[in-house]
Amino acid sequence: MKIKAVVVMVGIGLLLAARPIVAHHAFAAEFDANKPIKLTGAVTKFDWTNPHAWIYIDAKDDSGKVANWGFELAAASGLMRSGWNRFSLKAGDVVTIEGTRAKNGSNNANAQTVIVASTGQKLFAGANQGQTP
Amino acid sequence: MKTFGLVIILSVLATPVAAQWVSHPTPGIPRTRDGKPNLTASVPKTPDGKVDLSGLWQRISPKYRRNIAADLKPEEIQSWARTLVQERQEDLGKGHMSVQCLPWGPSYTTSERLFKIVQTPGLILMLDEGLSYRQIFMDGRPLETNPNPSWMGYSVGRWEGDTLVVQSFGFNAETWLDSAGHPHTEALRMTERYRRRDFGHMDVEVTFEDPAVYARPIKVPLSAELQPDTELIEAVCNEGGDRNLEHWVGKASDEKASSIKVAPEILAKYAGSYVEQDLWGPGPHPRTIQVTVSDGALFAELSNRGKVQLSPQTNTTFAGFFGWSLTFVTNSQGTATHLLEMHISGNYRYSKTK
Repeated sequence: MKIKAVVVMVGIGLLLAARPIVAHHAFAAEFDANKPIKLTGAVTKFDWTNPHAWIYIDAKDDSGKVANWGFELAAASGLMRSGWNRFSLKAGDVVTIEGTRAKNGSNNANAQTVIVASTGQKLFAGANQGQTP
Repeated sequence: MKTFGLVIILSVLATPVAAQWVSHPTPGIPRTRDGKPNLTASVPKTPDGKVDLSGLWQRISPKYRRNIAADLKPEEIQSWARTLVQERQEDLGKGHMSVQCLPWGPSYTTSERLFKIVQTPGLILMLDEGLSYRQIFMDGRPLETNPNPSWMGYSVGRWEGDTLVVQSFGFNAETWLDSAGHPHTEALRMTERYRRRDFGHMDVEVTFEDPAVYARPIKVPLSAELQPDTELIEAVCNEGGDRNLEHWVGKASDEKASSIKVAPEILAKYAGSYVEQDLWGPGPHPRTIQVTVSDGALFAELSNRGKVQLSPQTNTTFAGFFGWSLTFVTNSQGTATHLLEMHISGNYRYSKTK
């Protein structure tokens, strides 16, 4: 009981530390809001970079075929202000990611939500992505 | 057992934040009794009696950073410049310095970038997270008359009472003055006025003069808020290589081409006022979106930013909102209860208030 309360309090503290970051990438330039996608798979690479961090997972599509998918996140510096870091995800971690697909048809999407499969924990929430042109 | 588990969780969660100076308390600033920075304390002075502008500042510039010419009439802007703006908007801003990972140039001063002022008697520095800097020389030297054009220009400053006045010249013509894509030439002259109102608040006015493009000087008012107890975080824009731009295929006109017709009865249930719940950006908060229906089309007005016509892609998803999409979430009667502002980093919720 005590442990749960402390975890919640520290989590709120991390969210309050969130600060804005400016990166001018238009959602509409890269992603199609009409093409939602939700995949579960093991992380192959976690690119902790600016202006966008990227998560790559090996996921099975509906036909059972495994392919590598890339998901675009907020800037690493913005994620850092929200309390996340380069160890927040590691190769081998299994995650479920929801997003919308890249307009160019590639195996890419943005990451609206990233959930750790085993615990249900939501990762990278609270990162403020900045304004677009 | 319980105590052991508690210690493990605390140390795992506490370490990342403490390691980065992201929340390191700024030494020597006025604080209230509960230890919070006192942002309404009086303006600090340097040993030689000048106002001290030093500190980490967040600019707030919602209107003009998008459109520097918001107060100009079309005929006050050269037609080639207006055409260029339309082309740049069709490309959804792909040529902007922040996308191309280039220094911001003059529009740095009217942007919403976090910046650090370091003030010394003969030189004031502005430092940026992207590793750009500006030097404002306070030693009385005149501006270069024939400078080699540069990205961040050449700047000299002086005090007019408690206001810092900066004159700049010598910018190359590679940068945009806003995110809409308004251009400038090498003849641009920029004047900035900085007045620190109290410990945590600064008023800024930037004037752009470029008669080759704009018929009259453009005056941009904005403000800045001190960001105590945190630090600049380095963010090198092109460390990711070309990866982000290889997906940049969208044009503004795509959405109009793929738009569908949505029944007026459905649109009517989206009209109303929406208030942001998931905060992002420097503010002012809360941001609001007013959704209205007119002539069978849906319009959305973002606080401080203007009104745009939305482009229906499905019965619930609309494109054309400043480069984002909006998705309406409805109850069982089809009336919207909230909307989602769709960014690359995720969906930001706004609740319908009326």
